[in-house]
Amino acid sequence: MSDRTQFLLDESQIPRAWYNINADLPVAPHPVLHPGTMQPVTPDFLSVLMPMSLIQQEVSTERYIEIPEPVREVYRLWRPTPMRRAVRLERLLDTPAHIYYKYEGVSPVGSHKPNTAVAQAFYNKEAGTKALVTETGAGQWGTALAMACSFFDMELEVFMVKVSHTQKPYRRIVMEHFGAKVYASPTNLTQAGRAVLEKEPDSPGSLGLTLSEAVETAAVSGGTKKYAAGSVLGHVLMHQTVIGLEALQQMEMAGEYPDVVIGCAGGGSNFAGFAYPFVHQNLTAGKKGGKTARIIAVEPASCPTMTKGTYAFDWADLAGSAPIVKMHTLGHSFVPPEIHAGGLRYHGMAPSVSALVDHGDVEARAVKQLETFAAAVQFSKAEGIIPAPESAHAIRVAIDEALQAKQAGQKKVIAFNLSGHGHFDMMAYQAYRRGDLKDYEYPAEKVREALATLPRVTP
Amino acid sequence: MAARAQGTGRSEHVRTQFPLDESQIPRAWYNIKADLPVATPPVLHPQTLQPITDEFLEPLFPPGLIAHENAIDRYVEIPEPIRDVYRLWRPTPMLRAVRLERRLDTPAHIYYKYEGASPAGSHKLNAAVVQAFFNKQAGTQALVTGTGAGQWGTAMAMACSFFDLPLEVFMVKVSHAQKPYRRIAMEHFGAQVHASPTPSTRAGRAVLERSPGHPGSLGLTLSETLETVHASGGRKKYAAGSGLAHVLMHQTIIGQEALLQMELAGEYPDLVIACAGGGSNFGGFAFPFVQRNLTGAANAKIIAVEPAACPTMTRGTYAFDWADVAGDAPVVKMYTLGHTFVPAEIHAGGLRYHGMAASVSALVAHGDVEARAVNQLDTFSAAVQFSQAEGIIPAPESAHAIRVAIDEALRCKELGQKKVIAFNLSGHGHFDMAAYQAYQRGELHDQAYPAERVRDALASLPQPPLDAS
Repeated sequence: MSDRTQFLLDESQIPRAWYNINADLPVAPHPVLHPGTMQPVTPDFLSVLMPMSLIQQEVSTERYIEIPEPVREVYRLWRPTPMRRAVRLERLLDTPAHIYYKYEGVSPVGSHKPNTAVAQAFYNKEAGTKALVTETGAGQWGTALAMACSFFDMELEVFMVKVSHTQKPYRRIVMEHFGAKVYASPTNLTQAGRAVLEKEPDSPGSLGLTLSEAVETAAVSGGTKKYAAGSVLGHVLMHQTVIGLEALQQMEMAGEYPDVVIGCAGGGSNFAGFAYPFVHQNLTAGKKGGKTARIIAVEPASCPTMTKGTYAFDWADLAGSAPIVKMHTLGHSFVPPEIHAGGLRYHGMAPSVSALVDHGDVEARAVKQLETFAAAVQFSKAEGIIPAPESAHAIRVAIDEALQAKQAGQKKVIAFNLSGHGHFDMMAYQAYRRGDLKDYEYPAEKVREALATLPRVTP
Repeated sequence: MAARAQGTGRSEHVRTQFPLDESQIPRAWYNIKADLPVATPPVLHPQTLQPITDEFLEPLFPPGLIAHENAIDRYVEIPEPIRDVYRLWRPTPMLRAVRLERRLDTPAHIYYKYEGASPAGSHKLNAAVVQAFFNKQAGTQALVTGTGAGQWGTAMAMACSFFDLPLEVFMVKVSHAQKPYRRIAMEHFGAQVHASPTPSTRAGRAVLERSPGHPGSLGLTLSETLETVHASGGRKKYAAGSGLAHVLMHQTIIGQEALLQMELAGEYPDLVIACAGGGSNFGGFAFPFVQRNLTGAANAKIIAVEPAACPTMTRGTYAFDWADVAGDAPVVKMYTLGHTFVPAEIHAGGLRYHGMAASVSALVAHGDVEARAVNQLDTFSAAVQFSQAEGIIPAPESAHAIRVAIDEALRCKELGQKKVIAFNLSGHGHFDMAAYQAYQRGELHDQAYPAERVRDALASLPQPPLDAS
């Protein structure tokens, strides 16, 4: 084997600016609406939740926003992340396709999430925020923010879905290792939590409720505590674009340009982080005859927001206390089945990703749970890494594309984002091996019901 | 950090990464035998106590590995298919811990080599891949091994999967039940994992008859492994995770890369630090630096760190002893606490071994390597301090090296010395979070040195014929 497999960048090549898709979106973004009044939100509404620097990023239309040096300094602990050509997987599949993967699992907590966690902790520290508050399901986001807050000597409170708090102790311990306070939600610390506990003292909790508890805690803190979001919001997606900006440089080192760019999408941050710099090429140089790539966002068939949802205004959270945005949605009251890719169990999708899917710039594809785990096992056997179940969705489509290339005798170049490793998800792999996992049918009925509860917005 | 977070101004950029290109993966392993200042005594047969011959080794290992075990050449070439697999994660990163230096406010420069970047999360994969390759090449039909907490078993399972070789793992029963994540990782790669004691070997049955609820032990997994290999009629071979010369040699790619990376950094370490259980991670990192000491090219202080609860090098005896608990494995001259000594249940499972690799022992005895013992609570507090600065959650074993690196950095601060410290971060702790929880909850304790039990264990050393030593 003489084929080169590693495309390493020097620490000086960590991007100096994040890429902001708002500058290039082919359609103007829709306004974000107040959850109660359904009128466009003002910075005042948001300033209870986040510092002005992040609000400015949220609404900015500048194409590039400089990354502060203290953030780049932390990035240097693990960035630039590797990009590799999966030659052993290519051989296993016997495909003429070239498969590249960007590996975000090398971050200390094992996923892409610290890219934005570090930025949010920095800007909050700078603004004098005393403590951050957030929610987490399985814990990928919570662990990243816990580490980031530890770096900047900030306190962190995490509301973790109670059932995960007990059943998935490892990520909880990681958060505590970094000094975070982790609550099993519902708690009696918030009105939202107490209301649930009164009705149902043994409630296992839900992601929607943790969000309500986190937001309430920030809102009543008199400005000392702010809220940190792990996905969906514009600034979160933007912070993740360091992934794709590095990948562009690395593909150049490889002397190839991808024909297909693939990322999995739950709230959209890992997909956007990897894909947007390539989307930028499509929307600019590509329009003038330059190179273009097909961009694919992969979602679980059991939570098919983009492939089966509606592009409409909906609340970003379950309880209806978060803003209303125009996005692909299954209805904010839709509770997805308990698949193991916890990071992809979200009823909505980031507004910019939704706009690009709606406009035809991004192709959405849904894959089933069992074929996703099968792809993960195949990938491990070839490349060693045990992927996070979320990332396995991207692997499934990458393998499908490579097999299609084999059938067609095409030498396609495929690039995907391996957003995290699965070391904290081994119980899911055990369930898969024991045959305890199943494919969920698309819950058409429940989606229909949920879509009936969309807000009536007259923009 | 608080002060730095106040402004967004550009700060002085200290270089923190020293990446190597895949073409710089070493082309040969380094064999310390060529440079040892004193010859290591022969390895003895467990029953006859006479020097072993290849006939003893042949049922256990393929010819390629026996050749490595016996090799006296300074360098042994790495076959290209192995370098191909190494390319999946090697060269591993070497980082300068500038954020840790700042937290400690030390003039010392601290570098760490990070073996946790391997897909198995530890250095163990370096040797596992070699063993899988040579066994596959020799037509071995399955490998058999024993594992405690599962770090070695995970690496071996992945390596066997790469080379399409079936693997059986005897895992200490109590770990099998309490540490499911690593067991699942092994099964993910297709390994068959048995909770030892099993009823499928004589050794296992004997224990189960006496004590049906026996929790198992590392010594017993080795006995079950060897019995399975011997009963296979040559179809199955044994894979060793540490202790043996060839295993240590295969790990030396770590230190060879580190030498190149220190050169990139434009510094040479005054102190080279690694933890030592059987010796493979220590030998792998330190031996290339030891060589430069022995040839007079450099003069770094080399420190092997062990747990105070299992103080093989600092409190043990340098003598002939069986490598395993049951007395089925060869007799080796090494530092030992006595093969019947059962270390306390500390969380650094990889450091719970009564003996030490022969070459590491010889270097300690000769004064070329300094041994140091650290307490459990001190190592966990060092791990937490390291995480808060550098992010990585270290494996409890690796935290032993961190403890000494921090101690030395603090001494530099006290003395106003600008020393260069390099240590091996042999693995991450993502599969060890239960240990961290126990630490957070105050459930961990320092184990007093069990002088009485060591004295008892040392009374059962073999009495080899005089000409062997």
